[in-house]
Amino acid sequence: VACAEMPGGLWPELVPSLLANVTDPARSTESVKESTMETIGYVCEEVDQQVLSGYANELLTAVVQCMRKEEPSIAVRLAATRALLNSLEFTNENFNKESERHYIMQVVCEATQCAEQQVKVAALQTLVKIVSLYYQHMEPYMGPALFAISLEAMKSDIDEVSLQGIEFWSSICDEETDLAIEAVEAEEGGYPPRQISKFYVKGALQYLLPILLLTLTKQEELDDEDEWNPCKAAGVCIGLMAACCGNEIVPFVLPFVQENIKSKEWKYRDAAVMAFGSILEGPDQKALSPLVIQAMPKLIEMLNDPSLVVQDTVAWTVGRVCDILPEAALQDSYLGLLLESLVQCLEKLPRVASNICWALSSLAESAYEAAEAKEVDPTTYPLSPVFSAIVEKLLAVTNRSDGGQSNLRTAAYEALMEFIKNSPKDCYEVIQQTTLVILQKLQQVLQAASSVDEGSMAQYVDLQSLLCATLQSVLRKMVKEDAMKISDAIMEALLFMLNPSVGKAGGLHEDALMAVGTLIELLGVEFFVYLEKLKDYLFVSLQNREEYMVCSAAVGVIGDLARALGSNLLPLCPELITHLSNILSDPSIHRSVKPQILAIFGDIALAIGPGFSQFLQVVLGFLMQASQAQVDKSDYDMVDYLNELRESCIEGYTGIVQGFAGEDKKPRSEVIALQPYLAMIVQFIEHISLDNDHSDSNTCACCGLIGDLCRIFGKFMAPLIDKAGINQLIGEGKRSKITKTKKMALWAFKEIKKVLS
Amino acid sequence: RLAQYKFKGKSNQEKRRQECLQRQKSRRTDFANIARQLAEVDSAPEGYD
Repeated sequence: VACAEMPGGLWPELVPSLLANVTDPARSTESVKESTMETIGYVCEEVDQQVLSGYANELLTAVVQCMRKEEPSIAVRLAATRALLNSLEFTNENFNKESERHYIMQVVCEATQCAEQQVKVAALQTLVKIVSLYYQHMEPYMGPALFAISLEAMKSDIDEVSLQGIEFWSSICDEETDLAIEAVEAEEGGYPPRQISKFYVKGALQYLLPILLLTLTKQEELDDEDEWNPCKAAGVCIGLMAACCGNEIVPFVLPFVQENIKSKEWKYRDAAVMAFGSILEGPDQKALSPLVIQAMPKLIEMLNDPSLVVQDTVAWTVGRVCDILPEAALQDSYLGLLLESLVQCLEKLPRVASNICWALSSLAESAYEAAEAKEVDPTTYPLSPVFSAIVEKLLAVTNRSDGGQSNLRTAAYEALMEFIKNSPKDCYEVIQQTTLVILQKLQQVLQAASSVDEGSMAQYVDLQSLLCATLQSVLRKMVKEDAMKISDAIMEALLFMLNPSVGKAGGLHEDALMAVGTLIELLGVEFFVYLEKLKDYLFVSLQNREEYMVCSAAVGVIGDLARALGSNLLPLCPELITHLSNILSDPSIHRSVKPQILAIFGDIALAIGPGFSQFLQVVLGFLMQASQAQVDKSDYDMVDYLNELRESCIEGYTGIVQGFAGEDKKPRSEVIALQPYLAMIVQFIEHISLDNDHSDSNTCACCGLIGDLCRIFGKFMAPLIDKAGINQLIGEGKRSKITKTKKMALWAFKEIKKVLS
Repeated sequence: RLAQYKFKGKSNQEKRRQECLQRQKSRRTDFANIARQLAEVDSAPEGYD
């Protein structure tokens, strides 16, 4: 009720009444206080912070009062501690005042020492959140209190307590890793960072790691994969510490690995491998590589450890090696043995086989990248001799009856896709065969549609989605002539999957649309024969605002169609523009779809040239409106979004300008229709240029458009471009470290010079 | 945090989505660069010199 009423100022007596429940001795019985604290907790969690900010002080005072150790009722202390946990976000001002902060910290720290476990856990949860939200204020408390409290909690035999102790340090790792990134960005940008790291984790490694490594050995043999426990938390925390501290973690972990990797007890072998796998990301690759190369033969051997848990962890660690340190995985001395073992292990239990699939995916990607570094579009690579056998084996895994467990079927399809995507020329024959297998599987699955019961529908849709995605990956590798032989069958299958009657199948529809896009790109203008059949499905997808990823994929398909069909798209354009306009006018649409549409306007304009005149007014209206967008600059995500939105506008304008001008050296006469808008476009570019938060990619796109305008409109542009913002933009582009931007700026500079000379 | 345990990277659909958007953007740039005669030989779309 508070959520509904308070934002409109309709329940002003609520908070005073809740406060009176605590302060008025006539009302404040134990149960009233407990319920009041619970209510305050819910209200603080759910009601908009701005609505409550006027009450922050009083609410906080009441809550902290009930949390104190002097409070006789454990139930009240517990409810109050949970209420504080829920209200921390809007106590910013109180945390900025030293005396208030001291008092809150004192009460919370005292509550962590409460004999009652629930209060202790709630207080520790509160500390975890405080350290995330108010990291910069923690220095006076870290040494004297928080360090000891967290260590004691980590060592606790009670899982809930131990989990909070570990989470406390995982949260600090997150903070300090973010601060390290911010520091690098600040240094590169030549400005001081807003906040600095206090390197608490580095300082505490020697105390924390012995506890975490010991916790790693406390795993259960038959644990539930979805259960969270201190052993898993310790694994995650060590990984975060490695990311945060880099090389410094290695000497604290390596002796444990060496000591325990050959232990007779599986728990210690598993902990050793887990610790090793967890520190692979963060430390310097050069420092780690010799260690990994030395360890790989042992790890390969351990894929057949008698313990299933150890096998699982080894498979994951090998996957990490393939993913993070590909050079170490691709060593000639054991690559053959590694591949042989991985393929054999695909027959193991699903949780192990699933990790093996991932390892194979990473290996395929790494092997291809290594070959690509030597040769563009490589002829062969180290996996070529076994490529066919691995693909066949992965296809067999997709048919396993236990493929539903541990995500195995999905992992096998994903590995298959990576192998196909990362295949050199000498594997093309396997790609051709696999395409037919996938198409056949897809047809079988679709034929079974009518016999699928409701309970199996989700799994059935997931399978279609995977087949569709695999089809995308084979198509991407295929030559046009081969694709044309099977394009009828492919389109029939894809349109079947786009059928809206399948219901909520966003993932499937998105994958089907991406596959359609791939086919369009591959067939080019030959895709025209399918346009009539596709259009209704496309329009339905464009109207799917709830599953906005479907809408977004459909918008992408329009761009693909424009590039493939050129002026052949013209008859469909009135309907397309209407749909796109409707999406842009819909306030409920997810914001990520809008930039895409603005750029697609440019794709359409470029495809149909002066045929775009009929849409010019309406499209320019949208572009101008988007050009004026403003965002909260303190929100990094929104700054990125604004840059994306502006760049899409530039792409939209570019397509229109180029489309009207045509491909010939002498622009078409129709281009004159754009002259009244040129000042406005240049002003927009200048506006972007003068915004310090613009991206390099923005600079590149703006330089491109300025160059186009000068090339097409010649002397007419002279008074428009002789501006500080434009000079600044070109200068910045010329100094860019990105070759593409630099090249574009130099080209634009030459075009400007021609106009001004 | 549970998702971070034995983490195996982003979901494949998310990866596919990003790659698809990236490819579309890159093709758009290729097309725009044709008129500018800035097209990279390797990335120039079919039928364009």
